[in-house]
Amino acid sequence: MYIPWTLKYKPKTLSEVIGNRAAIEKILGWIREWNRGIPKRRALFLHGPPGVGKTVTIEALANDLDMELIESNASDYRTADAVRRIAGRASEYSTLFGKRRLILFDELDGITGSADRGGVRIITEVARKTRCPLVLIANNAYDPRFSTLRRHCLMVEFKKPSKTEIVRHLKRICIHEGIEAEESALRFIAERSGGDVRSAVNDLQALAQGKRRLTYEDVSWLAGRDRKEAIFNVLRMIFYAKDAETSRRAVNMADVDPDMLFEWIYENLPHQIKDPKELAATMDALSKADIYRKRVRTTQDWSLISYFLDLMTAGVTVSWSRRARGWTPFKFPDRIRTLSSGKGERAILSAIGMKIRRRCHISSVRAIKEVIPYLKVIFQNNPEMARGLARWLDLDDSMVRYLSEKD
Amino acid sequence: MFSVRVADARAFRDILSAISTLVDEGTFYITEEGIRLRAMDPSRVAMVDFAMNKSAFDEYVSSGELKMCIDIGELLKLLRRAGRESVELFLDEETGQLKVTIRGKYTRTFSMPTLEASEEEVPTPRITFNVKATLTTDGLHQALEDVSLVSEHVRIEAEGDRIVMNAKGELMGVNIELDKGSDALISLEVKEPSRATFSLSYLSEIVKAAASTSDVVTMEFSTDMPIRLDFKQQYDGKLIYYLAPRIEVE
Repeated sequence: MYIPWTLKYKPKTLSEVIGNRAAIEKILGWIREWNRGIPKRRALFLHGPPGVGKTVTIEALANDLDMELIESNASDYRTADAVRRIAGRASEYSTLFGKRRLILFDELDGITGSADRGGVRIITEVARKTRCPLVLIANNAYDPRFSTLRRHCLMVEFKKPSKTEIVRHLKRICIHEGIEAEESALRFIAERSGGDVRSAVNDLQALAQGKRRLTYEDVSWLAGRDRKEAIFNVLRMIFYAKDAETSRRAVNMADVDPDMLFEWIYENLPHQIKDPKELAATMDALSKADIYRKRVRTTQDWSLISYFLDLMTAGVTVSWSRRARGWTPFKFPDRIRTLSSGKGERAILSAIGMKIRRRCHISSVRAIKEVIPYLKVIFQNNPEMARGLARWLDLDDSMVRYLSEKD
Repeated sequence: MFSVRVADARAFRDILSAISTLVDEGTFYITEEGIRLRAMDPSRVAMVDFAMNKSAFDEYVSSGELKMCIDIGELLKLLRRAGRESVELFLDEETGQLKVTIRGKYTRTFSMPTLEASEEEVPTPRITFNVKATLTTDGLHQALEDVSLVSEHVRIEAEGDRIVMNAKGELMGVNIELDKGSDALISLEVKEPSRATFSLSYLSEIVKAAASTSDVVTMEFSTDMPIRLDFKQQYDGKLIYYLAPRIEVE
């Protein structure tokens, strides 16, 4: 079974958390205040960049102190009612098994949209009134949305751990996995992670799993990866993944948005997959992904997004044999290029469409599709008739020029 | 293999409805002896402990042990269509579908998906109770309805031969006395005077739903400890609730 190393080597007690000793002491001090009654600040706001251990610290804390942890994340904040029903109630009542309770609101950055503004309000209310310790976690605590909430919280910042600390963590994992790793290779991974322990561990797993030895050469090819190269790695992961799970995870590693990633996959499929049957199967998965993408857009039902993502990644992966035939470089999506270069053309087409619409009482889209092709023939072959039409439709010079140009 | 039949859908529906006050999705453990469920509500403040033994069903066939998780609200919707007709449940283990057959003037068979069973084993709270009271379910229900007019919380106290419930709202207050031997309070044992405050939204929802399944309830509690409500069932089985008290601040 596939287990992400980030999960397998997750700190279980506070002593295993990497770095941030001062912040952890501050958290422990605040928890101790609760032993003497309700402290002035009932909520603690833990903030810092992704992958530095905010959530695992709180989970380790609950584990160390044998507290019952009630966790909420972004999906629970969609309605004020859900917040009140779960965390609101938990904050006021004691536990059934005699343990103390710790409430965690994770991923607060994920609150969006108008319904969720109520979400922040109700979370603030819970933070003010809670009768048991409450922890909030966000990447950016200084978002204006949290200004009122911050006033009721003890602010604790988690910083990026040092490179040395990350290397030490990676080393521990390698020892456990029976991998002999060159120090320089691990330093390289740590360096590239930019202080994000989670991504460093993910990189290590991607590069080293199943190997006995990890050398500097194994990792150095990642050097100087810019955005474009990053997307190439993601594509390689999707096309040639060992299993669906790995492929699915690639979405999180991509630093382009899912729509753009779709274009990248769509563009590169025919170049990578030569067998027509396999190509048809993968394209089929992709087309189903596209259907879900459209449904998300039209219905705004974002719960469908995971079908879009799964079909686009895992769906493509499992639809073919994943045997590379020679090395084919990945390409930039042509569709994006033509869309941007065709901007001017589309503008003039729709302008002519509008003119036709006014005269012929049909939609401009239909005019572009059904009338303009004939106009082009007329304008290119019968200047006299074209002049009359141009006057009747009230076309300006640029439009006439466009219609008269040979494709 | 799991298949059961109840001749009258109503009782079964009332029980599920009582469970659904706390949980939306329930994982039932099915053995050769019967079915049981123990689950906490999402905030982990309340818990239900339910069992219905083989003999409580008109027909009961089960081989081996299995877990079945279903959306209780959805199943209730189907059962509400059944009135007092006979209902059969059949679990198709291959497709993971639960077939619900209602036989009345005509026969209809619904199928509904089972969900991924929860792995969490919920233990029973271990509490030393200092108060044990037997009440009529209706009496308790009425008293809680009275309290809910003024507040969202109720403080329950027991001392000597009396249980006192009181609540203070923003403007109004209420004081209810239940004496031993009265119509509502059948018996009372107090080892130590005790008191605790509970959420009315939970308590009255639980008692209201359980009232249709039971006439008599045994209520046990201690100072600032969870309360235990054991609703005596007519069938061979149990329906017990635990509810954590409000955290008191001085």
